Order: sequence, then C-alpha cells, then structure tokens
Amino acid sequence: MMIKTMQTIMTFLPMLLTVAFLTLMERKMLATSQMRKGPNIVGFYGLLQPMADAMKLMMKEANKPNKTNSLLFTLSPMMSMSMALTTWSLIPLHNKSPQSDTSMSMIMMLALSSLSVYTILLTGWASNSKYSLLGSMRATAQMMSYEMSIGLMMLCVMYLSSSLSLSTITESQMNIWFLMPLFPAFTMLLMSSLAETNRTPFDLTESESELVSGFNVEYSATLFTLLFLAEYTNILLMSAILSMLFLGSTTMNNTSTPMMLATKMLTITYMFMWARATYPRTRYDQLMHLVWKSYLPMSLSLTMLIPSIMIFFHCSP
Amino acid sequence: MKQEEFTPMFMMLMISMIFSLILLLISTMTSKNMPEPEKMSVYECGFDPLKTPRLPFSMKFFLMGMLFLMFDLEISYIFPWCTTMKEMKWTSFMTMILFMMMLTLGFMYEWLKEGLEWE
Repeated sequence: MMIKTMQTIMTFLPMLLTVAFLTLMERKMLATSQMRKGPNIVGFYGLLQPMADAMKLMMKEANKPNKTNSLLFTLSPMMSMSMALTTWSLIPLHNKSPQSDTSMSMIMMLALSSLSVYTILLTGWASNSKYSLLGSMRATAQMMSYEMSIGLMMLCVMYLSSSLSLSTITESQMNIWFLMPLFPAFTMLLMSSLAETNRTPFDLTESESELVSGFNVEYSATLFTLLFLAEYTNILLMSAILSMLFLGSTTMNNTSTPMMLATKMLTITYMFMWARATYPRTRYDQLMHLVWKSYLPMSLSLTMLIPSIMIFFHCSP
Repeated sequence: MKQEEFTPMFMMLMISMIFSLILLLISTMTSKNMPEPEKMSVYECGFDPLKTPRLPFSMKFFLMGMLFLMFDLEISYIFPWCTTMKEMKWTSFMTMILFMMMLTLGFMYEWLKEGLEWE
C-alpha cells in the first residue's frame, strides 16, 4: 500500500512538470516555424518561462461573473484536471510500474475519456455566457463523434493482441509494431485524437474569430490554469496511448525503461504541434463529414475485415 | 479481477483533487479581489447582455448524441468479444458479423435519409 502510494506520487509530480514544459516546447516550436525566437528571457534560454507563467496565473485576480452557477463553475475545471490525471494512472510507464497489471485498462480509459466531455459541457453551461455555451456545445458534438471512431479504431489493435491490458498490448508487439499492419488505423487515430483534444485543425471550440475563446471565456486565474493543464495533459495522454498501441513495446534489449515510451510519446506530441503550425482551421460541417462519412465507414469495415482475415487464414496470434 | 488493480487510479483521483484544491486556496490567499459591476458582467462583445444566454436546445446536437449512443453501445459490446479471438469458433464469429451487418444497414439508412447532413 505504502509503496503504491509512493509510486503514484512519483508518477503525479513528473506529469505536472512534463505538462508545464510541454507548453514551453510548443511555444518554442511555433516560434521556430514562424522564424521568431520565442520565449528566451526568463531563465536559461527561456527554460523557466513555464514557472513564471504559472506564478503569474496564480497571482491573478479570480474573477467570478454574475449569475454563474458558482459550485459548477469552480468544480468543473477541477473535475477536468483530475479526470485527465486519473486516466494517466492507467498507463504502464514501464513493465514493473503498479499500473501494469490492470487487466481492462482500455475500457477504463475509454470510460474516463468520455467523462471529460461532461466537464467541458459543464464548464460552458455554468459560466452563463453565450460564447462559452456555443463553444461547449460544439466541443461536445465533436468529441462525442470522434470518440466513437477512436473506440472503433482501438478495436483493430485489440483484435491483434486479444487483450485489453495495455502492458500485454505492448508486449505483443515484440516482433512487429502494429504501425505496419494497421497503418490506416494509425493515421485515422492520429487525426481523431487531434479532434478529440480540440487541437488546431479541428479547434472549432475555441475559434477566436467566432467564439472569442470558446468554453473558457469567463475563466481566469487558477480555474483557467486548471483547464489549460487538463488540455495539455489530455494531449500527452492521447500521444501516450497512440505510442503504446502502435509504436511497439517499452522494452529494448530486455531492459524495460520509461525512456523508450517517452521518446515515442514526444515524437507524436511533436506531430500535434507540427499540425498546429501548419494547417488552417476546418469548417464545422467539414469536420462532421470527415468523421461520420469517411472515418466511420472506414473503421467499421476495418473492424469486420481484420477478424475475418484472422479467422479465414487461421492466423490468430 | 483484483481490487488492488484500481488503487493507483483512486489514489491519483484523490491526489489531483487535493492538488487543485491547494492551488485554489493559494490563489484565493495571494490574489486581491476587487469586483466591479462592469468586470463582473458576462462577456458579450462590449454591450450588456440582452437576454439570458441559456439557449433553446438544438435538435441537431440531440440527433448526434443519439447516433453516438448507438455506436458507442456497439463498441462496448464488441470489446469483450474481441479479446476471445484465440478461442473463436465459426458460430460466434458469424453471429458478430451478422450483428455488425445490421448496424451497418442502420447506418446506411441514416445516411440515405440525410441524417448526417450538417448545414
């Protein structure tokens, strides 16, 4: 019990640090792609910028607008933060971590990530503003639709590994990464996870020209920090799931190190930021057509095709 | 299924709740709060909010939610099935294929009736 508590805390604190430095990495990346320098004053080459930002956000005035449901208004950012971090506790960072023996982590993960839809809906509704309500409604429809296609594409991996535990899935990729046989599923999952975390080609929830800032217009100070942290934790979470499902095991030369997972995760997170620096925003109907008319038929046929191939050719693993 | 499997999860939930509570506490202690009527009003592009922002419900979003519910139920039905790929017999396989065919037919009906159009 004691050891498990210590290990959980040991995963919690680095998560927060990673999220903090992820914001710096994103700003540096965007700056480099636009031929700017980015934050380079605070600390050594701007390394302490996230700390300074956090300090500034904490010191700000906590503004609470009129007629908000103040309980929901304070509770929903806290909920979104803890949902994101709780989902992180299901990811086995290396083979001996306490999370690695959860036998149905995939189902738990889908359940928890669908709970994060509720927090966004509550955030938008509780703040009693038209902009945030519209933003949250958009976010809800978008996240629901994409979550469905994410679930269907995760099924493809489940067929090949025939297990719901993430550590077993990573172990079953010892010979070949699932990226090779399931490349279409990987690309679709990558784009769906962009939409699921409301990232840039699909960030219609916070499109500045229409909705100012989407569901978090009314938030300030610490509550905004919590929402912001939750968003970036979700990005890291999606890239962790992607790298565990498709990019092979965490073991190298019979030694299991978290560094392998970290490298793969950072590669995928880099892709998220790359997409932000590159693509313009889509229209809402394009977004909906993409998921309902291309991804859903494709993933439905993949979920039927893969078990059929495995049954017909007797090549179940 | 052991119970200890989920110990890290509950612990993480508690720790993150406590963490966000501490953050809130720190910010309420350090920041000074000076509410003004203009500052307190809801953001509305420079003018006073005319009517209540609680909008009437959009039917389109409701339809999307219903569709999502259908497909998500299906997914949660397939999940336990797909872990038994090793012991799979023809009967169980064909049953699931029939089930998925019915769902696909329903989806095609939805498509043809233009339930997926978005203006």
